[in-house]
Amino acid sequence: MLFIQALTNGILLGGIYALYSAGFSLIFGVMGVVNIAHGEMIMLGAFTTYWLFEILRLDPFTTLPFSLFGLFVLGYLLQRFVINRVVDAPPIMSYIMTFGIHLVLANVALLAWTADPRTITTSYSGANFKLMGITIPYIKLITFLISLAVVGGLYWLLHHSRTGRAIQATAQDRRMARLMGINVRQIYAVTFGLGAGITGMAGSLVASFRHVEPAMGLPYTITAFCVVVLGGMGYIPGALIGGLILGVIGSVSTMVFTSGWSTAITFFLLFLMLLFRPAGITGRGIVE
Amino acid sequence: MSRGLVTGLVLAAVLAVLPFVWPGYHLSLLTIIFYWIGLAACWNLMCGYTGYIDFGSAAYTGVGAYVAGILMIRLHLPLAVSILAAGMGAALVALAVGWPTLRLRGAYFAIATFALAEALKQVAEEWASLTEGGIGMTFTIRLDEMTYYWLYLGLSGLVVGLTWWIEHHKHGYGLKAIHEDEEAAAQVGVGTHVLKIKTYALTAFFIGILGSLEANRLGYFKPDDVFDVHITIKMVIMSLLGGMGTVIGPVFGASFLQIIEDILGAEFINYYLVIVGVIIVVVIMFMPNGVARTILLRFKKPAGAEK
Repeated sequence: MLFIQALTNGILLGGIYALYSAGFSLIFGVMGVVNIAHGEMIMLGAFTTYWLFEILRLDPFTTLPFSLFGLFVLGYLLQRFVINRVVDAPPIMSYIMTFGIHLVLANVALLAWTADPRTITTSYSGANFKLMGITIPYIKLITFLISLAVVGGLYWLLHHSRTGRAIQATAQDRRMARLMGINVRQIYAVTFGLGAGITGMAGSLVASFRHVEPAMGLPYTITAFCVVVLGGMGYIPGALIGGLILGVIGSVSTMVFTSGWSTAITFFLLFLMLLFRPAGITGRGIVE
Repeated sequence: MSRGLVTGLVLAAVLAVLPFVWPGYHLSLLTIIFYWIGLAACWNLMCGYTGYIDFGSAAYTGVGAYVAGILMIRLHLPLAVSILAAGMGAALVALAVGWPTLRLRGAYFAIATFALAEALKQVAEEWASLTEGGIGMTFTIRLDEMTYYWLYLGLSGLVVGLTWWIEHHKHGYGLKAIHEDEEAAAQVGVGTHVLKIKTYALTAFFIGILGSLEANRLGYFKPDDVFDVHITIKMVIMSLLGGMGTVIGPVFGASFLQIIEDILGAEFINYYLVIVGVIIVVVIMFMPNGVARTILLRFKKPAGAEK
């Protein structure tokens, strides 16, 4: 019974893992940029929700459009004016640059909002229902469903909209895309904005059941990387598969050991994947 | 004897006796500066030359500190043995991590190392029966302050000298070839994978030794101190400021940043990190060759423009 409960928790958690990893995968797949500042997008999304809840008393779930829009703009501007300058340089330049952005965002947030962990408590926080003896919290269930919908929406957008197809074309062959009249730099900025925007939404969702604090970003960056390696770097549906697997493993290993060990187990898993199957479980990741 | 060697020996002699002329507070500042020159030079040797970016070098200062700590405090082994074992422990971890990740794109290496340092910190926190967990470990046997200075001076000199030697030998050409175009390097017969792993393990060895010595010098350490992500951050920015992939770059970068930090002091730690972040972004945007090299090139240009 305890095991089935842990399994359920893991699956519910896996949805949000998938959501905040999809943006990471998208940005890497299209531009080859490893966004070390990824977790900060989650942190900023979480703070957006926190402040809207604190000041305007908005329900956490109604703040999703705000974090989507806010982080889209931030991501767009970052790519347009900062990261685009190194997109043609060796990839290491972009890693170090996003590392610098990570430092700036995390520490400006720390100066502005102090290190205090904050929580959002709504009337339905902690409420749950029982299904065949398994406890399911409402917030986790809604979060899970929204996550699936957003990842699905992103997939649809990439395959069925004009911009989405331009993004895919750019990812496949940048020079050819340029010859076909695609403004590659513009597409890069939109891609980064899109990736940051959905990651911000994931941050808003996380804020409804976890602590919100300036230093929260780093572990999310690491988890996102693990998820994406599991599912295949740059392959969006892979984020879903990787997210669910990692959610379940994390939840079950927390039940068996402690949460501290579950980080170590996650890393060990990442290590095995890199050793034996670097293209991910689906085998569709970018390895080179 | 060449002029360069004479200059080097004179410089080494002057630096070695410097603490006698300038003791007290300046000794600790000088000690710290050479410690960081050593670390930055290690990072530069691996990452500056191959272009594979290690975001988890703190893993090796941490492993070094814990190997030395456990051997000295729990097993009462002599200091010299423990410090050497610390270096080897770090090198072994580097081999294990480098083997799968250095075959892949640099992105995998960058984040795998980033995650490694965090994961090892968690292990050190959790495995309290071995590491005392968050309580930390205290060294009972320490060295004389002056000895630490000489050790750091020697070690940083060794790593910088090694970088110079590698730069002028086949090993170095191989590393640079990997940086320029790894596929082409492999085509012309450079054993890229083995070369990268060798270099990585070698630098981890020195980082492990430096990390264990520093933990011993401070006398007390806990997981947060020795696996601190800011250790890695400093190594990155020092190399970047001085110029990645140059012999002398880390020496300039480390001295400059450490002196700035000394002036700003610990009270401004958060502002300091914001400033460091901005410097990274600005340097990458406008001076990707490093500050020192960009300025040097500007001075050199009129004499004989290369391009």
